[in-house]
Amino acid sequence: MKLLIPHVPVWCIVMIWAIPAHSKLEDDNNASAKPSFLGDVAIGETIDDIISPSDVCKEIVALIGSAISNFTLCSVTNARPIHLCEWCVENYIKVVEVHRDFLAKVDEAGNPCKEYFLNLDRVEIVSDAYKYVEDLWAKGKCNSCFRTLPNGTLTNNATEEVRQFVTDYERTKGCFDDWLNANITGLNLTACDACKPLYDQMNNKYMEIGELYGENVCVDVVDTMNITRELWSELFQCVPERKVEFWLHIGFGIIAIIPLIFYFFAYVLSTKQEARVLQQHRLAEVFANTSASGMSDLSGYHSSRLQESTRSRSMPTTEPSDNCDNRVT
Amino acid sequence: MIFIGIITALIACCIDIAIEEGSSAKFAFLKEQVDKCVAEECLVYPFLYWVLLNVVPVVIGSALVVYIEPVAAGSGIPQVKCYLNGVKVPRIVRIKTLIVKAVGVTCSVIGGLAVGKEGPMIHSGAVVAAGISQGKSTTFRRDFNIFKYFREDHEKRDFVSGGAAAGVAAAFGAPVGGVLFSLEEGASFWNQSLTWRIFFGSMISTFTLNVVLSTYHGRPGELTFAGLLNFGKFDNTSYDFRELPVFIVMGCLGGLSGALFNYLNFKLTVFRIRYITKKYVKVLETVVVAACTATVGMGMILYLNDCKPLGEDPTKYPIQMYCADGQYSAVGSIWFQTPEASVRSLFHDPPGSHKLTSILIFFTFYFFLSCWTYGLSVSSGLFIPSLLTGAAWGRVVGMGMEELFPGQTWVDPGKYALIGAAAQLGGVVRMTISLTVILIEATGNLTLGLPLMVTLLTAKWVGDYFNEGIYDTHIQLMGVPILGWEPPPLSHNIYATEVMSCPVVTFNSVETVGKIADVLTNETYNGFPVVDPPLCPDGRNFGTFRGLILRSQLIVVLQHKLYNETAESWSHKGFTIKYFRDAYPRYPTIQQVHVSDEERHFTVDLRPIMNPAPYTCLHNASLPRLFRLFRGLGLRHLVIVNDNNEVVGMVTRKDLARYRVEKHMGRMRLEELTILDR
Repeated sequence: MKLLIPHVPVWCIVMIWAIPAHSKLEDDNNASAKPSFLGDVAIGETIDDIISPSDVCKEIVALIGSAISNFTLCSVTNARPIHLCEWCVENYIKVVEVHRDFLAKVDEAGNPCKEYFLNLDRVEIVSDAYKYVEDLWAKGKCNSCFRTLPNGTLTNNATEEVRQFVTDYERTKGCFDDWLNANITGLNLTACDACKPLYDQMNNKYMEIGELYGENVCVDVVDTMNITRELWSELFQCVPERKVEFWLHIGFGIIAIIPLIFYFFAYVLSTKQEARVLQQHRLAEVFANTSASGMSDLSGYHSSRLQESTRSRSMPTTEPSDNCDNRVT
Repeated sequence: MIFIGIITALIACCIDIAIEEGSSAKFAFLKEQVDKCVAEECLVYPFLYWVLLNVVPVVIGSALVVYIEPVAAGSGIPQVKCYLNGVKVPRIVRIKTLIVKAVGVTCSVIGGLAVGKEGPMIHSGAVVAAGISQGKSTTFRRDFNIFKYFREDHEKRDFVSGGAAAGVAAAFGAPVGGVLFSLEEGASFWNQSLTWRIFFGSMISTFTLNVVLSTYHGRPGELTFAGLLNFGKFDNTSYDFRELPVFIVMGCLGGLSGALFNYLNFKLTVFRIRYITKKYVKVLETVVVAACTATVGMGMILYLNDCKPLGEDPTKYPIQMYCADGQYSAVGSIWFQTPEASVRSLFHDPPGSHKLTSILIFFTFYFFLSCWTYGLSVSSGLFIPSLLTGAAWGRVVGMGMEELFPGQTWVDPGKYALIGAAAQLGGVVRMTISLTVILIEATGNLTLGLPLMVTLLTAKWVGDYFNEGIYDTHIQLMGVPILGWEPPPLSHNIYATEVMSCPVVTFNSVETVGKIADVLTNETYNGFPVVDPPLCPDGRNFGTFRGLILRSQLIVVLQHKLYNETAESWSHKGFTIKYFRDAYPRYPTIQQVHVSDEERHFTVDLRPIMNPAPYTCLHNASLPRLFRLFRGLGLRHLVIVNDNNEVVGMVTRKDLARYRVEKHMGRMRLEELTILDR
């Protein structure tokens, strides 16, 4: 009881909001119809009568429920190996049909049934349940396995390619089965050869479908192919065998040696770049010349420190430097 | 700026789409061949095709670079950096360079070399900016007579920094990263309004790129389409507190391997400078590298048996090789992609997509391949190969973490691949802020900002302990007198008198044409002080300083014959700045200017042309002070005067750039370099 209390205001608000919409709808549709659900209250109605949907609507919702549960049962039982699209397509179509009916259904009082179930609370049970089915179907990309009528309705007829693919699969499987029994006699080494034509045919059909639908190949086909490939390579060990590829290794060898030869010849044959050092003129040289000729007044130029530092730090040399990081042009 | 953004982005789109289409065609063909030949023992043919398909585009790209425009080699970032530092790098912003660069990089990426297209895109942006701002093209002999006020070095440099930013924005889809890149790596001179203009240009560039590429991907107008993010969007970006030490360790690893990369590449580049000098040898070297790249790829696909089931992750050209049906070779899928796509798949492949050994082997080979490739005579970016190498070892770390912490939600090999990629790139190029932002923007998530930053910082610190960033190394090897942000330490006791050139070649205020022509022919100097001749020439003092005149100005004077004696023919027009702006930026050399014997006796009045108040400095200024003047003002010449304002020497960038501090293994020493005549 305690739990219910917070819900009351929510209900009220929703109801109040709903009233004008309904009455307007009836005004437009049918003047004689009784106003629904919280509209006019007929004599003898209980609260339960008012807040619960009419029997017609309950029925159709129950139909939806059972359709969805059938689909769910089917999908779960066919989860591995996955046959969701192939075997549950009828259940799915049923769900879609019932749901469509539900959306269109109007009860005796003239109220659309969906008014009782949609957009009223945050759980949205009916639409969520339906959405789950739709999502699962879309995730499996199952629509691409079946033909659609021109008006867009899905049928339970598989497309021509998918049918051929399934036939190919059955044949390949049959071949595998034969060789699996032969396994006992230790002959499965040739399973690869024996089933290869069938397997290749199936593979090619798969590629064909892949080219037609791109990413949207339905999950049954993809999974069937994956399982077959797995059987092919894991169970029967039909992996492309490593070839010797004699010439390839020769090619590798040649190209691996080329750099060595190249750099060797580059080293031997090219003439080493000699660096020309630019002779720079410095005051110290001027002093060297002028002091020789008797001029000794150097006081303005920090003479003593200058000469000292000139000695301690080597001046630019004129010899070619072969140390490349010591160059500034 | 808007045009710079648009055109840069369009060029980037062209490169992008060309690479995409070319590589798709190539790999589709190769896949077909391989699939056919696995069963028939003829794998040598696909191998030869692969070698051929690598070599042919690479030869085209390489020949373009070697024979047409050598300055377009490499990523172009070092060159742009030099340019923005204030060094005049010849031919760097020519339209010819742009074309060679764009075509060259397309060829080398299609040719399957371990290169990326990002660096060249940045260079392209710089060229576009420089070109547009000038409103004329000397190559095409067209002058649109617009933007004449921008025809000088300073304005052009501002535009170039904007263009580089637009290039980054176009390459990575990272406008903010572009601005910061320009700030961190490029621009030496920066101001507020420039920032905003550059940001605008980068935004426009990204926008244009998104518009074009979304159309190309079949979703026109969808500008938030996730496929436009360069490295894809990360779904799971949560990280745990415990991971930060791991990120730091990864940063260290990145720093170490980056330092190793730089060291190897340095040695290799030195070898190349010395021994690989002939043009055809350079082309041949790229051929060798291209063939080896194909060999490594084929060898790995052949020998590594790393099979993964098809369909779990999108692989464009899955090749089966010796894998079972329904499986594909994981190694093959890495190689049968452009490097950029490989980075993306290493970031985003679900856990368990690759085997540990195959990733490790891939890392080893790719590390050496990219190291070998950088510095070849092709247009090539370094970002993507480094990111790929890093992503490979980062993924290995991620796998290790999965082993250590099984079942933890925050362990995602893709995330570690991103961190590893950042660490490797940070260790190689030693950028921090712009790289963080670029990676944040290119992966579209802000959450990993802190881990990226921590990793990049560690990588930079560890790397800097051993050597310099690769761009700086290459700038040094190019021998460009670039000046760093700060004057070299340990240099405060060096004075202008030691640094300056002396004796100085000077001109008098009114000088004879003959002397000007002779000096320009015989000397290589670019700036000459204009002086009043000293009363008693003593070899140390060259007269009272009046102004500075540039070689280019003198050449324009000689070219237009603006002599005193012929004044009647030009004085009615007067000196106009138009003469100088028209000639910019390609001044004729002195040999191209004809001076007749008669003219040699004419005189030129230099006073109206020279800069009467250039920057000067006293002879007892210290080297750090000179350095800051040069750096802050972007000077090229500085006249050294004595107490009586008499010229005693000249300082140029080269005089300062000779002093370089070498930091190695924690030791520091000041080196004085020699200057080469090249």
